[in-house]
Amino acid sequence: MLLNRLQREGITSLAIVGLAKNVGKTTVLNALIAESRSCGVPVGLLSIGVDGEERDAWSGRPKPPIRVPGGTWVATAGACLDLRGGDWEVIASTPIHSLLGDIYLARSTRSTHVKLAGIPSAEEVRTILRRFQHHGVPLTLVDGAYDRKASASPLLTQGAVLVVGASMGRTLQDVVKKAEETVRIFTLPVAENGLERNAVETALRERFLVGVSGGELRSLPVSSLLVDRRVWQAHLTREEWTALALPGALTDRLLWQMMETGRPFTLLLSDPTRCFATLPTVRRWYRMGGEIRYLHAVRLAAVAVNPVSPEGFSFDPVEMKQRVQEVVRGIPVMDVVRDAISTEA
Amino acid sequence: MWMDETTGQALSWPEIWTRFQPITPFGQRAKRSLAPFVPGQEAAWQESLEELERLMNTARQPDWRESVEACLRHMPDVEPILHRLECGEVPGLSEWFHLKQWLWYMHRWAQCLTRQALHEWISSDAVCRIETCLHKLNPRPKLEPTFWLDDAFDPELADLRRRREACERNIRDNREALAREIERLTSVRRNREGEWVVDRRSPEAAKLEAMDALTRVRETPFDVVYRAKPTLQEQEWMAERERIGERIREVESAVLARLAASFRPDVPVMLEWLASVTRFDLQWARMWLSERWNGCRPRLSDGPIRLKGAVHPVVAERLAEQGHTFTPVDLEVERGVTVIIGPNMGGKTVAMKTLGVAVALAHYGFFVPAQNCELPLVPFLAGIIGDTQDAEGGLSTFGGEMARLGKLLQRCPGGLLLLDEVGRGTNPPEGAALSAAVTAHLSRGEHWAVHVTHHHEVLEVAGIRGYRTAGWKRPPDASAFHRPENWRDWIDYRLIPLKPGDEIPRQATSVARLMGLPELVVRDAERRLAAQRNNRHG
Repeated sequence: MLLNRLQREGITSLAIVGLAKNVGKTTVLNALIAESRSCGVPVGLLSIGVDGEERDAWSGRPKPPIRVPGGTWVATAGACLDLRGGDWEVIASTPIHSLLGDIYLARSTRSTHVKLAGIPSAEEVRTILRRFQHHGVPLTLVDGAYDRKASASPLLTQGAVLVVGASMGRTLQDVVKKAEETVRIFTLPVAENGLERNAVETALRERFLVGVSGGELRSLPVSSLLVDRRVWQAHLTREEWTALALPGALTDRLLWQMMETGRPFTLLLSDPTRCFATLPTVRRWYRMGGEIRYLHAVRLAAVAVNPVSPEGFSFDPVEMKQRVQEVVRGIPVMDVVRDAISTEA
Repeated sequence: MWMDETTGQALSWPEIWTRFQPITPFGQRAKRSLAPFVPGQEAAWQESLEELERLMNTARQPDWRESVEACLRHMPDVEPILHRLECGEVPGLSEWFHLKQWLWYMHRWAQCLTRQALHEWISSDAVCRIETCLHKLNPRPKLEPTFWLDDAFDPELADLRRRREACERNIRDNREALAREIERLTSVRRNREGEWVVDRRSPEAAKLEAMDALTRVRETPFDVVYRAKPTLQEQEWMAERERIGERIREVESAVLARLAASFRPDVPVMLEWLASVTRFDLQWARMWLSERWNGCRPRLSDGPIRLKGAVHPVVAERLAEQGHTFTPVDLEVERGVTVIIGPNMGGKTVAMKTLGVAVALAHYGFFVPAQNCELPLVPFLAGIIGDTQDAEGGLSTFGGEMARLGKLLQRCPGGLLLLDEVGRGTNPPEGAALSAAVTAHLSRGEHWAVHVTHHHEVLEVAGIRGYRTAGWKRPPDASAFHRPENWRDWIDYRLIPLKPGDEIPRQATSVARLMGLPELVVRDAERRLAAQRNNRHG
């Protein structure tokens, strides 16, 4: 079982990230919670954003409730606990405020349902994760908001499950292609070289571009690539850079502008959630001789597939799982609705 | 108003007030409406200061201090909950949790205080009553800081929950048995939801379809999803579970309503405890500031305001940041007027502001940053310090100053008036006349007035008392200034009582030279001064 495996690997926090709206993220979350019951691992639950509402904030469609067994820890608003007051033990208050009210830590006294109020900021998510750990919660599942890959950041959670759903495209080929793009971007290599790691750390700390040239670090007098591109392009062409660390995110537009300089090098980013460039553009950068590396890797614990779209169409589940498995080689693929519980171990 | 905003700004009161930090949310709220002690409240004032002194003595024990502070840090704001209870409302789960947390930490806090015999805050009886209230929210003998609707709140609740659990167990066992039977007959296994998902083309699909025990719940062009139909027995258990669940909700509501009713008589005493801990929190925050300033307890005087070794905490901190020290102020101010003279930059205004801050802190129940402090409670504190230009009223600096002074001189009974160079905003002869006239008026009045001035005419007013700042330690000489910021080292800021025959110091040109005015200009000024003197004498 996935949770048993994660426990063995010492992972204490796992983000559930949907790659589009209505992909079935809550269904995956519920499946993992159900798994926690059967393998006897009490989990903690928290949500980033506005998840936990009865309707999806984007599409307005009814969302499945989050079902929890007794002994589950949650971080949510008092109003969400009051709905089934007899089912909860309130353990502690927190200084965190959500749209639905102040956030409390509570433990379910029996099997029940819950709404998770969104925790507004990454720092506050970290606070909750620390509090759960302090209370001895072995694993916390972080329900990421729609298309917020940031919840998978290795600076926030130790692992992530990507949810790939039929609603990501009209054809299976589209969906598989999008899944492949995300996984390939997520699994680009980590910078091993000490100098390169130092460059990213410096860039993140000082919020400036930091280049590696002639075996030395050089700070560029540019804090962001959003400024006049001629300025930073001039800096890039002035020297033979072997690597360049960005303090922020990488987009397709920026990558194209870098390609305009005709000087390929290794681009260094904090982690995969900071790479918003698409696979074709990244591929072109590699063909030019460039590379992309991360300071921190995202541990992709699994890819979950959902062949049914709420729009009313669906793909062949066997084919979808198989094709996704082919493109995400090495990462376990699961279909939480179709996978029989007896064959999962 | 005891001290207006203009005066407060001039004394750097907002910076001082920011340093005053109660810990609890209700302490912070109380700070916003904290009133000073005023004449007529002398006994209460001294009592409050005595209480603070006792607290400071007890808080010298680090362990005790840490325990008390931890309690204050964890106390939630329960005032709105107490008011809801008072109005007959029933709080929700998170509000009961807050109330329990508050009682939990109140109990610990009260125990800390009674152990040190600080009974003025909370009595031993109250400690017992807090514990009783805590037990109302914690029906089991062992007290816990968390809150849940424990079975022990109601025997029926415990019984209902047991019955619901039994129903659920029966349903689960029945389902499991049925599922095993279905899986024995087919090769399809359940998913995590307890459903059988089968490829509609597979031979197993027909088998599942034919099973009476199953019902088709949804399908896609590829799959059909089946779930076990509840058996008759299971339907009965489910209906029973529903009935029990409904009753549980009723009993839980009744438990909360009973809790609210049982707490309602306690609300007045809980509000008293809240008031007590709020007052304690304010004193605790005062204690921190007193310690930071090494403050002294102000004593009630029979008339004069006497300060020895007083320090303006904000100015002192700014000076310390620059590597300088604040020269403590010794000052005695009686009813009437006290004049302070001295050279420019000699510290006259800072001495006056130090007096103002000490008096204000004392009135708000603080220990004063001084070695010694005696004062009567005064009805108000007001100052004309710095630019009083009334922009809205369209008045000039001088006009604004006169308008404000006019109002202050009429205030009755007299308070502490701090006047910084009255008349400086107009031509020197008229300014000097006004300055002397105001001083003469104040010398006969009820105020404790302090007037900082450069006008020698003021010294001619009969019946004034006063001080001069000691001034330059030696004849100022630009060559002595190795660095521009060193000028402070050459000034003696001490206040020295005025003696008959003391003159207003004439050092403006020297100061101008030291501060970098071009030498040609300064010499020209000195020539003009010499000519004036010659004209007067010749």
